[in-house]
Amino acid sequence: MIETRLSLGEARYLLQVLDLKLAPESPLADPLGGAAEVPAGSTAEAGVTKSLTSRGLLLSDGAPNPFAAAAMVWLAQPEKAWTLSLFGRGGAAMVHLAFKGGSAVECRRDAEGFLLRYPLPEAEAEGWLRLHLDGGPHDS
Amino acid sequence: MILDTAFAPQANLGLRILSFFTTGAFFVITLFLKLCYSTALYATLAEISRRIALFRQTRRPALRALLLLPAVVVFCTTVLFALNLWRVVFGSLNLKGFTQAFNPMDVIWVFLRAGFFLGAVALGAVLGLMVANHVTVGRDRFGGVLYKNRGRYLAFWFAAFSVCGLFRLLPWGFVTYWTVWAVVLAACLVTAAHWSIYARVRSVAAAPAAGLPAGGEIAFVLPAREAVALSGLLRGRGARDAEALARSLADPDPAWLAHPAWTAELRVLVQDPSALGAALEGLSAKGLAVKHGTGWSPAGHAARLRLMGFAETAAGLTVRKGGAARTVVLHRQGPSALLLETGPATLGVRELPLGADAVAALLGSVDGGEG
Amino acid sequence: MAEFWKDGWQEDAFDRLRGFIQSSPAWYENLSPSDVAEDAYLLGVASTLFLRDEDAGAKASPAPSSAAREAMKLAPLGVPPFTYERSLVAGGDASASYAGSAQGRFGALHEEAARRAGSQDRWAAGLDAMRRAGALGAQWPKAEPLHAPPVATFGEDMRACTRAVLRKALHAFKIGFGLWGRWESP
Repeated sequence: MIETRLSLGEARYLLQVLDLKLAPESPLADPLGGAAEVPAGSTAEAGVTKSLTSRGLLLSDGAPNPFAAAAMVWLAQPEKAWTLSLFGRGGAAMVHLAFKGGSAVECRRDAEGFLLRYPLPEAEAEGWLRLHLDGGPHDS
Repeated sequence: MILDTAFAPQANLGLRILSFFTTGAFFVITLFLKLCYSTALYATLAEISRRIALFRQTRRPALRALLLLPAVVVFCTTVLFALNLWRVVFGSLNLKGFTQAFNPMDVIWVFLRAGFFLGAVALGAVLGLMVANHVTVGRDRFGGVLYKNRGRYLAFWFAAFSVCGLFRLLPWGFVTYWTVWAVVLAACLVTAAHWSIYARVRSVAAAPAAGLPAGGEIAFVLPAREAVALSGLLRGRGARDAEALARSLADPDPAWLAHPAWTAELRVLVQDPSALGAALEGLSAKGLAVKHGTGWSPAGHAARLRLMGFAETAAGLTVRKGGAARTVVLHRQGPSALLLETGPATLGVRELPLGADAVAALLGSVDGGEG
Repeated sequence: MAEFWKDGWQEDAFDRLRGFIQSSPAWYENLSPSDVAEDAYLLGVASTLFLRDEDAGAKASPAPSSAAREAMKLAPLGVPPFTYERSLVAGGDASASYAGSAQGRFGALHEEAARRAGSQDRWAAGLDAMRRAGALGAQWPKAEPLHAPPVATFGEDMRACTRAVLRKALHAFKIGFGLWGRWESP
């Protein structure tokens, strides 16, 4: 299991480096669909690459980490996407699951950006749903 | 004599130097304490204002926030009380008064003054419990606990605190006692009120919901217009006529306007009485509404739906695939669970049988439409 | 001569000191314009606290509640663990996991990652970067549900409130010391 945090700017930058277009199903389409590209050679780009490298999402030669790149492909162009919105005593929460080829990537949106967890086998998607709705695996 | 006059100025100079340094040291120490205390006071006041802003924004305070407010109030009051302690307990007595002739009346006065503060504590606690008794604690639609409260007692504390702080700066000793007395009263009031509200909110939050009583399981599918009319019926208590329903729909419940397309239906119902009448007749034909004289009230499955009142948790699962999207919402309260499917044209509501696997039902319902 | 000076100094000094101490509780009755200026300055400096974030300097995130800690012990999902650490060591295991991933035996996402890596070295470099960033986990983590958090006990609530108030007061004392921002490394 890989767990990675991405800010909105970092996600935008990875999409543009990997040359990925957002499909309508993509969980990233809502926050990033209209976002401007990070201009090449700008200080913004330098900041984004520095933080991505420090978190292992860019390799030392500046190329994207293949695992992060694969996760971005899943998020940008999924075959199917689930959006789970939860409401309760504590407020609201929203989690996405992007499916493709029998694997899935979880994407949670929060104030700082995204929290990604992957890979989840598609066969475990029901268990994942139980985890969020019932707080654990179904006993019976 | 000559020696005396010759050395006197020198002796005075030494004395002056010593006096200067002692006074200076005391001045620096008190200045530091005043800086720290006053900054702590302002900081805690800032904390209070931030918490109040949060309360206003969300209307859904964490249980802990109910305790934080009295904690801050008690802290601020204690600091202000400590700054005034000497003046309010011993009045005009100072250390010189103790070292000199001893007046028994002064001792009695000290006990009277201290005892009167206990009166403020007791009165504040009683008033706090009375105030909290009038605060309504209840659950909102999604299981959050609400309490509606104008917070006048907080304004009272804040006013007492400000007045007392002002008179601490001004040299009028005679008002200090009563302003501090009012601050202590207000602090005890806030503490008692919030602890009491905390206990009630906590008992509501921790109590498991009973769920729906056994009976015929809810299952119906309605066109959008009738669903909007039903939302108006479910909001009121007792039978209401069509005009009252139209007025109620003019200020709609946002939770029921689940689909953007329903807003248009709502506008039609508010503006056109015949459309509202037709929608109510449609509900009546499905057994969801009943007419008493000129008034309408929910019946059958709709009456049972209103019994549910709130959901402890609501989970909406949206599946997007190939440009199409489908959303099913699972509302749960205790052992009861409802599945709602909202489309542009219809609303489907289905109650799951007791003990059914709600997650499997939610998945099956979403996948059923997908496949 | 010296004795005269000494006696006079002692007598007068003790008298003055006693007078000074005895009169001290009444100091506040003689407020000078400088006192007022000092309070105005304080109001100006301290009111910037309204603009500060109380948690900005917090050292650690609050501990999870007791119920959450209990729940964290369970293995929440039956996701088969992929032994990333094994793939980091050069040798048979790493080659096998890279080859297996490239052939799609560990799921489509690993297959895509292997295809994008192109070689076993880059595959291992990618994993090593993730490991150094602390992104690799043995099992799917169970997060505390934000929408329906467990109800904390009265004691936990009370301690959290007291700590919050004391932290704010300490913050104010730091400002009083004039060590704002230099408290950690004076």
